[in-house]
Amino acid sequence: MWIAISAITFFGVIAIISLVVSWGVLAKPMQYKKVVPDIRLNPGERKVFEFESFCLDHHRGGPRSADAYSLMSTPAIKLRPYLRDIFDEYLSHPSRWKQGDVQQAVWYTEGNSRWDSLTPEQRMLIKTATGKEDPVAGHPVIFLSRMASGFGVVVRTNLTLALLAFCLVVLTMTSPWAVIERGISWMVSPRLLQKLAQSRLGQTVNTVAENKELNRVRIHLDVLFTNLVFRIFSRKRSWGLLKFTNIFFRISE
Amino acid sequence: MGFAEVYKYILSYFGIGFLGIGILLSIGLIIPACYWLFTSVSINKGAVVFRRILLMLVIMYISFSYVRAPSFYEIGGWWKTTFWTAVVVGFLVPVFRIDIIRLDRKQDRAIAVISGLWWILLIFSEALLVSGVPYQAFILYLFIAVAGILCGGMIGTTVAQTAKRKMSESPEATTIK
Repeated sequence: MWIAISAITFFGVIAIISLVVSWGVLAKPMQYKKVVPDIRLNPGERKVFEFESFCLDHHRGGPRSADAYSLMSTPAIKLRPYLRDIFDEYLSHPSRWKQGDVQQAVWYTEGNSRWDSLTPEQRMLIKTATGKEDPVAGHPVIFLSRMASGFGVVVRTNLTLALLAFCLVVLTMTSPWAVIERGISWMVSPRLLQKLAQSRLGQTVNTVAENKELNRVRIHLDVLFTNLVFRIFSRKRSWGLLKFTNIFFRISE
Repeated sequence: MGFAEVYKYILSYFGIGFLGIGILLSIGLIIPACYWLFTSVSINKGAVVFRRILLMLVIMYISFSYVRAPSFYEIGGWWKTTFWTAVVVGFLVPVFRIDIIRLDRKQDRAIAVISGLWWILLIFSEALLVSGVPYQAFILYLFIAVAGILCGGMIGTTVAQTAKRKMSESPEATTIK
């Protein structure tokens, strides 16, 4: 009994943490905190600002014409290893490195490019900036980021679907525990299933399903919907529709 | 190596472990989730309206949050139009083909088949995403269209079943030819 409860609690905590991790890591560095730059213009004054920009997300599609641009600070500088080193190197020796090589080095910090696929200039830039050869290889932070970008959406979608489907069965089925049991019977032993049914979880599921207020809501919604359909399909209209379907049927025959 | 970097290293190892177990859990839980979904979608007993409205919200939430993921930026903004068009089509087909609706069936096979297709497309798209296929706009539009047909079809079938029940209750219904 306690083993089952501990196992459920353990996996439940892990599921919640992985849901949070996959949600959080996906949000960074895609959603940057907006920073309003201190640009003040007097009436009739015109200022020109030039910005050199780099793409941080290689797998993101190209910008569309309708996309809005804004100046933002990015947590990627702090979160992604070696990114600051590459920018620092480029800013301190701008004439030494080409923008295209810097862009490739920035994408390399995502962990999706192979060291062998880079040109000698790009490798030199990374080595000068970080002091290491192939610094991304085996780096746990970059590995986690790659894992989250590859599996984050899948983990989030599947866990949310499982949670919502579970709640749906509990809230809408007449005998929810039987449906839940049949769904998990392939991966849990019958003895554990029996214990689960007798546990607090099983009792809570049955209590929720048999709740009078919930039952009243279900019935009320069904009655409301039926009345609405009955009004729409009032006698004349329903005959009209039935005739229409009959005519449609004859024509198709 | 500074304190912050060591801290990030340690946290990352924990993160990798948690996400790894999360991946296994999500793979394991998708099968019972699919069974629960198919059962609640197809069954014609109990509070059908309440169940199908909640189901429609769940399918809409899952489909929208999946398609809105940053990985699918390239699909553009037409998926909402596709979804609502498919909802209208899915709703109108059972309402206009009320003659093929059968009230004696305990399970609705057509809706179960469409929900199965929705689930297969979701899993296929997830597999493509994990394997690193960059562009899957066609699959995503197909997925969102099936989601729309499923949502519209569930409500349309419920409307058609209710209307047919009303018609079959009336004695005049038998005289129409």
